[in-house]
Amino acid sequence: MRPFRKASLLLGISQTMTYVLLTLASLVTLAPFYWLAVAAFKNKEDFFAYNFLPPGEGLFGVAWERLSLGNFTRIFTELDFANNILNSVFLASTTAVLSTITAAMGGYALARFEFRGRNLVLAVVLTALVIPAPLLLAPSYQLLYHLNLLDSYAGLLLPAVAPAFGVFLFRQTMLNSVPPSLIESARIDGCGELRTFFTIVLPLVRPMLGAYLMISFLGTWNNFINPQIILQDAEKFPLSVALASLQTAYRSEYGMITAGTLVSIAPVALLFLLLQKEFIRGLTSGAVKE
Amino acid sequence: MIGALPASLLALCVVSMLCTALVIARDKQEHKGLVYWSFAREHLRAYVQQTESWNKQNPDLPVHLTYVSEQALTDRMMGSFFAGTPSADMIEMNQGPNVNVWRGPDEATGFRDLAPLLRRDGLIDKINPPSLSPWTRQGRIYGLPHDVHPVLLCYRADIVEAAGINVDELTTWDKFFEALAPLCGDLDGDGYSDRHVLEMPETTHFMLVIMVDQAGGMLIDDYDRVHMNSPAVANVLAKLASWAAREDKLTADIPVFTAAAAQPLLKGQALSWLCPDWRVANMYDMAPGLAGKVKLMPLPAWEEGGRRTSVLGGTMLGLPKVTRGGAETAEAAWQFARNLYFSKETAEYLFRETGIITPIKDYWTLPVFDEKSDFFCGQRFGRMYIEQAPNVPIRSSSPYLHQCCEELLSAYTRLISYAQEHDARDMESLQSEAARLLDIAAKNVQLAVDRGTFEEGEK
Amino acid sequence: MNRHRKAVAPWVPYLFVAPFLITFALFTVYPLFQSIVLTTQQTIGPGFERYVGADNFRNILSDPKFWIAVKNTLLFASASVAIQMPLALGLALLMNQPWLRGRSFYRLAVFSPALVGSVFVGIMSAIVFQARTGMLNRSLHALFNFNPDFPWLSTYLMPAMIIATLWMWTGFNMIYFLAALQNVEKELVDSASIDGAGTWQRFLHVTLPAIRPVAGYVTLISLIASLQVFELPYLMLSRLNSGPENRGLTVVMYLYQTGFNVGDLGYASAIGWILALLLIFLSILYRRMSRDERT
Repeated sequence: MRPFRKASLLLGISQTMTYVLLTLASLVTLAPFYWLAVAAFKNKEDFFAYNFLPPGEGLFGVAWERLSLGNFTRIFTELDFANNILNSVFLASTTAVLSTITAAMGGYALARFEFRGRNLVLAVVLTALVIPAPLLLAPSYQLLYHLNLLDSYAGLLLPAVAPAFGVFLFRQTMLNSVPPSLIESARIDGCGELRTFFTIVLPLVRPMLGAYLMISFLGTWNNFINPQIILQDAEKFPLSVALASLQTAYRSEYGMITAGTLVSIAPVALLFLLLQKEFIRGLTSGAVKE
Repeated sequence: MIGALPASLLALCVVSMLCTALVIARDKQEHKGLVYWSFAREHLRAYVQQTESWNKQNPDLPVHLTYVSEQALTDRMMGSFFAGTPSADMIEMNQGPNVNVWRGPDEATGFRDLAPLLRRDGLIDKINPPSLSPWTRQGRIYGLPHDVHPVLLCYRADIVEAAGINVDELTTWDKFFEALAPLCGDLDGDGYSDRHVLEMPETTHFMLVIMVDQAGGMLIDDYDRVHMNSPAVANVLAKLASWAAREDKLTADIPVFTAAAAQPLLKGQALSWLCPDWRVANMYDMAPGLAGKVKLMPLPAWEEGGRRTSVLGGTMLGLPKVTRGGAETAEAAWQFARNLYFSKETAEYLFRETGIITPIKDYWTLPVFDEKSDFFCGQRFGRMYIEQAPNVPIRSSSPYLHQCCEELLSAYTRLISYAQEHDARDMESLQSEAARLLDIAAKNVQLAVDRGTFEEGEK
Repeated sequence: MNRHRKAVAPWVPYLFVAPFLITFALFTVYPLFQSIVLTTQQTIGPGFERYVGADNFRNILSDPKFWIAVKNTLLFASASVAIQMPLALGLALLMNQPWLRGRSFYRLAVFSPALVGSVFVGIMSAIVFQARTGMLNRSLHALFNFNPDFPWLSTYLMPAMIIATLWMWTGFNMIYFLAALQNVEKELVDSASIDGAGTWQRFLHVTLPAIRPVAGYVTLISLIASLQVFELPYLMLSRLNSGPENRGLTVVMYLYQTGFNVGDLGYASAIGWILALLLIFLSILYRRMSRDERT
C-alpha cells in the first residue's frame, strides 16, 4: 500500500467502511443460520426461552449441558427421516443426471446439426422459456391422473426430464465451445455419433455440465410444489414435503423442524462448497457473456 | 470411453443408480389388512390395546395404526379423494383445515355416509347431538365424532386471586375485563405492555371463532347460507375490538397453540386464555410450569345468563369410499371403528392422557371425570367440562366455513385499525363499522358460494 | 469401428433431440393445450368436470380474493426487486475492490441463503418472525428496544415477506453483478482512470452503462420469479390460510388453493393463464427495451 500519498487517509476510511459494511452484511445474513444451528440442539423448554444459547455455568457462560442431540434422534426415530433423505437424494440425482443428458443432447442437436424441423424445435424451446411453471400445474396433474402416474416417482421424474431452459443453455454453450471441425474429424476417424457425443462433445462443455447438474440437483432438492401435489404415500416424500408437513395448525414441533431443516440444507451446502466455482461460472455465463 | 466423462456426472450417475436400487428394494413392502390414519399421536396411544385384541381375533385383517402429521394427512387424503385412489381404510381427521372434503354432491365426497349404519346399529342416540354437527352435511353423516371439545376459560389463579379478585362474580365478559384490566400494563418499564387480560390472537381465527360461536353467531349453515353479517357477530367483534384497541391493549396477540405460545403464558403475558378440553394436554406438554398456578372457570357470558361455553376443533373418524380391500373390508372397518369409538376404555384413556371428553353420553358418569387435578389446583376439571358439554354450540360443515373464518378475522383486524385510527372506542360506532365490515365479508363468501356450480340445484 | 463418411445419417439429429422432444411434447406441450380446455371447465379434482364456458374468467374478474392476490403479488415483486437490485449492486461494488481480503468468505456468506431453497426459508421465517418469541423481534428488542410484539406475521406480513426474500436473493443477484463488474474492470475502467475521471464519474459513465445488460437480465429474472412466489408465504403462514385480510395471498398461492385444496383445476388454470399473459407481456417488454438500447 505504498504508492498512496494525500489520499491515503481518505482511502483508509473508505477501506474500513468497506470492511465494516461487508462484515455487517455477512453477520445479518449468517445470523439466521446461527440461530437455526443452535435451535436444533435446544430442548422444548429452552427453544423459545432463549434467543440463542441458554445461559449457564459452563464455558463462555453457556449451559452446554442443556443442549442435546434429542431433536436429531427424534427425526430419525419418530419420523422416517432416513427414508426422506434417500428419497431426496434419489429424486435430485436422478433428475439431475437425466435432465442434463437430455438437455445436452438436445442442445447439441440444435447447435451442430442441420435437420428438417430444427427451426421449429428452436422456436418451441424459446417460447417454452416464457411459460410459467404454475400454469402447467393443473393440466399436468390431470394428465398424470389419466396416465395413472399420480403418487409415483415416474410422475415426478418424467416431466422434469424435458427442461427447455437446459436445452437453451446447452445450445448456447455448444455454439461457443464445440468447434464443428473437431466433430468432423472425429467422424472421418470413424467414430460413432453417440461415441463422439460422449467422449468429445461432453468433455468440451465440462463447466456447463457441472453447473447444470448442480442447478438441476438444487432445483429438485428444493422443489416442494410438485412432490407435494403428486405424491400421496409418505414413504415416497422428499425432505421438503416431509419437513413442511411438520408444521401444523395446533402444534408445531419446532425442535424437529429446525433439526430437520439443518439436516436438509447441510448436503446441499456441502455440495456447493465443493463445486462453488463451476456453479457460479455456470450461473452467470448466460447473462454475462451476452 | 467412460474415462473421458466429467467426474461430477459420473459421481451423480453412481449415486442415482444406488438410490434407485434402494428405492426399488424398499417399495416392495405392502401392508396387509386395514390401515388407520390419525393426525394425533396421543389418540393412537389410546387405541393400542384394543387394536392388539382386534388383531388377535382377526389375524387376516389386522389394523395398522399410522401417524400422519396433520397437513400431510389433509394433502394425501384430498389427493387420493380427487384422484379416486385408495388412501387408508379409516381416517381420523381434524375439522379445521379439512372443510374442502365437503365440497360438491355426495358422489364427489370421499367418505361414506355412516348415518344408515349408525341407525342400523342403534347408536345415533348415544352421541351428544351437537357433536355430530361438524360431520353432518345436509342430512348425511360422514364421520363418527371423537369428542365434544367444550371450552372453558383458563386463568392464572396465582396472579388473579392474589389480587383479591373472585372470579365467580365475573359472569360476563364486560365484568371480567373490567376486573382484570388494572392488573395489566407495562411491568418492566420498557415502554411496551407485557400483561394482558385475555389471549386473543390476531393472526389466526380460532379464538375469535370460539367467541362468535359462544354468542350464537353462526357464520354459515350446512346448506351454505351465509349468516356472518348478523348483529350477534357484529356485537362480538365490536366488544373485542374495543378491548384490543385500547391504549393499554387488553388482548394479547400470541401465536396460539405453538410452543412459542407457551412462553407468554408462563410469563403471564396473558392472564387468561380460552381452553378447549384438548388444550389441557397441550399445556401439560408445552407448559408444565403452569401446574398449580392455573384454574378453569366457565366462560364469562356475552350477556347475563347467556351461554358459558363454546367449542373449538373436533376430530372425526371417517371411512373412505375407495379402499384397497373394496367392499370386503368395508364392513370390518366399520366394526373396528364402531368398537373403538364407542368403547369405555377409549373414553377413559383419552380423558386421562389428553383431557378430552367423550361424546358418548353414557360414559359421562364415569368416576374418572370426578378426579381432582393437581395441575388445576385441585379442581375436578373433567366434571366442569362435562357440565358444559350439552350446551356446546352447533357447528357448520359448509366447505365455505374456512373462508368465513378468514373473512371474520380480516373484519376483526380491520375493525381494530379503524378504532385506533379514528379513536373510536364507543360501542355504537364500533358496532356500525363492524356491521359494515361483516357485510363486505358476507358478500365475499357469497360470491364464492355462487361460483360453486356443483352445489347448484342441490337445495 | 465402422467406416462412416462425412455425411451424417439423416436420423442422427433426431436421435439426439428425441428424448427431449418426446417428454417435452407429452409433459409441456400437451398440458399447455389442455390448460386452455380446462379454463372452460369446473372440476372437483381431475375426476369430476363440467363445462362452464367463459364463467371462470368472468368469476375471476369479480373475485375480490383474486384481486387481493394480484395486488399483493405486484407489490411484493416490485418492492423486493426495487430494493434488491441496488443492494446487490452495492454489495458487488464493495466486493469488487481490488485490495479486499477475505473476498471469498464474504461472497460465500452473502450468497449462502440462496442455497437453502424457499421451502426451508419459509419454514424458518414462520419461526423467526414470530412476535415476542421470534429471533428477529428478540434481537431488535435487545439491540434497539424495538417493539417486542411487532406483528410481522399479521399486519406487517408483506414487509416480512420482502425481508425474507431480500435475505435469500440479494447475495444471489450480487454474484451476477460481481461477474459483470469483473468483466468491465479489465476492459474499460483502466482506460477511463488513465483519462483522469473521478470515482463517481467513472461509475456513472463507464461502469453503470457497461453492466446495464446484466442488470436488465437480472431484474427480469427476479421479477418473473417474484411474480410466481409461492413457497415462501405458503409455508411462512403455516399453510393454513393467507394471513389476516389475505395479506400473504399471492397469485400462485391462490392458484394452488383453488386447484389443489378446493380441487377446481379449471379455475386454477384460468388464474394460471392470466399470470402467464402478464409474464409474457413483461418478457416482450424487456426484449423491446434491450433491442432499443442496442440500436
